[in-house]
Amino acid sequence: MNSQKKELIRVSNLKKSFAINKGWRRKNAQEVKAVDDVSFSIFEGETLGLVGESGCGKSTTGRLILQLLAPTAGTVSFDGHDLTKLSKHDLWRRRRDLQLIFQDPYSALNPRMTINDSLNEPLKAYGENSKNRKKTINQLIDAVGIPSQYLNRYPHEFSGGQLQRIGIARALALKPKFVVADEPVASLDMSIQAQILNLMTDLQKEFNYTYLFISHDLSVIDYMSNHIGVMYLGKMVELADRDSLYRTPLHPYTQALLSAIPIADPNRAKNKIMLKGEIPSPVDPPSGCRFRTRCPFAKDICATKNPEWVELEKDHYVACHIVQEARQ
Amino acid sequence: MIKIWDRFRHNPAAVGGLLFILLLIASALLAKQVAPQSPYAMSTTARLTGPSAVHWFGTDQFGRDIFSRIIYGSRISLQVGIIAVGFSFVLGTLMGVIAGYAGGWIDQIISRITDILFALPDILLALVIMAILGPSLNNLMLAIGIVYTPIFSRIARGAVLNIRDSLFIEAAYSMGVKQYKILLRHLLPNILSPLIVQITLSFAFAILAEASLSFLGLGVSPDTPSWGIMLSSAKDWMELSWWTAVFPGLAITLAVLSFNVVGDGLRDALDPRINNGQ
Repeated sequence: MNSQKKELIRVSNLKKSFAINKGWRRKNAQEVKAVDDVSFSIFEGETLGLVGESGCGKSTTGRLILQLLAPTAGTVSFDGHDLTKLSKHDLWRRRRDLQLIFQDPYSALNPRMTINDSLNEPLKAYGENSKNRKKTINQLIDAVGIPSQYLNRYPHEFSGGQLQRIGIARALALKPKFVVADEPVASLDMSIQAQILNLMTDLQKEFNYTYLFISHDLSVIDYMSNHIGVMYLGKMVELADRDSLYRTPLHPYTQALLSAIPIADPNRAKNKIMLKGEIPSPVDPPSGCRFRTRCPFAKDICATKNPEWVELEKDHYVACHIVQEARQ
Repeated sequence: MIKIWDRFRHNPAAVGGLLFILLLIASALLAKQVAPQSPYAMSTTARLTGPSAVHWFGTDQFGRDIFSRIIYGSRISLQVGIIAVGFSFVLGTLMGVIAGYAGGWIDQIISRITDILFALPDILLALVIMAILGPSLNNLMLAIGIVYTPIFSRIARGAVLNIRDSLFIEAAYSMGVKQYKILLRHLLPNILSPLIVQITLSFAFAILAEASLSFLGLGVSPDTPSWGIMLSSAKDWMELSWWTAVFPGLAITLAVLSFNVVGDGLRDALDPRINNGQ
């Protein structure tokens, strides 16, 4: 990591657990550790990609950073301010710098409001006057390629790709510094995916946005990210810059994920690592390393000791006993 | 607003219903001018006479002109319908929205109160309230209003629970929209459809409840022209004189039907996803 880059977001030891089955007597009270001790930084103008299976806590991490969910423990600092300690009003003032792009753009728009009303809403909330609002909205929809005569239409009159572009326009309306994109292309077909991803990178170049890009699709993550974090069952298992992660994945889980990317070359031998079993329940995660039940290299130590988060190579973090032992 | 009216306009049944309601309101306001005779004037010679040029809808057992009584009766019926249902809609929706939005112990308390009100039969509950408050038109409207409050509360709560965790609510919050604005602009418009349907249904029940309570002597006094009283007192004569029951019954039916079609039309006009063939 280049020391000249400015650290915009720093997440330290972030934890979130949800109580389930809580009743009067709390007999069956249990908790799900959706995010368990995750730390990373995001640098200004860059994109951190978060990848993992569904249910691994990547979306929860995004919402915790934006303070849409209150963390159980840990801190999130944005531009040097700890967001978890801000008062309600101070947090509201910061919120305009922190925005979210949703996976399903149709449900994220009020079905009874025109696109124009929906785009106006964040600007009104922060007291922009009507002349400025109109100017900003026209610039925005122009940037995302929606004709201005469509402004008075309702969400159900648009296609999925158009709606996601509107969703992006709305997230960027307040000129935020940091945007969490929660699987923004997962519900779209391939050609539209490329369009949305290009739009996001173009806007990033133009306005120096910082993204946290959440996806389960490794090729999308590869295309978008400067750094990539791999999550498994609420924990981050590996974090590195893109090239080093794709060239030398260290964690067995990352290796398995990368080997699953289809390669468009029939002559190339495929060496897929097949993971056995299912992802365990987060209510009762395996002891020690959470990946050990599915890891092809698991040893005794993996069941007893939680692997440490170590910077094995420069700017390349991994939590795995096997890899760490091999390096010693 | 203009858009909503534009969509409403294209629904012929709803427009017809609206016209009839406007006619009712006009007749209620101008009863003195419109009614051909006094609704109280009795006549021993013209008892139970059928429809004729003088008495368009015939006369009742005291020789009173039924047409005039129906016109005066629209005052009571509209008043009861609008005020009692308005009361239960406002109070019930407020309770339901608070219960659904706040959750936790607030929800528990409000939901248990509505459960208790639900457990008592409608008419019995209204009877108890009227017995405590004493018979008068205002108390009658209040009693009917209280009886129908839990229905609105429960519908509103269910609708709020359905909408509360929607992504567009989270989206609005994440963009810095204030809580009360989220309630007014995102939550309320999206729970309105089932409530509008319930308003139109309750309106019919309210008119009938007024009739039942008046019949039991707890509403307005028996000589007051009210559609409910007219209908219930006609039950002794309708075998011989069909007009005593048919015309007040027709008035109630048409009023209820009008409110129903207007409610349906309004619900469709408010929902941009429904295209009314434009």
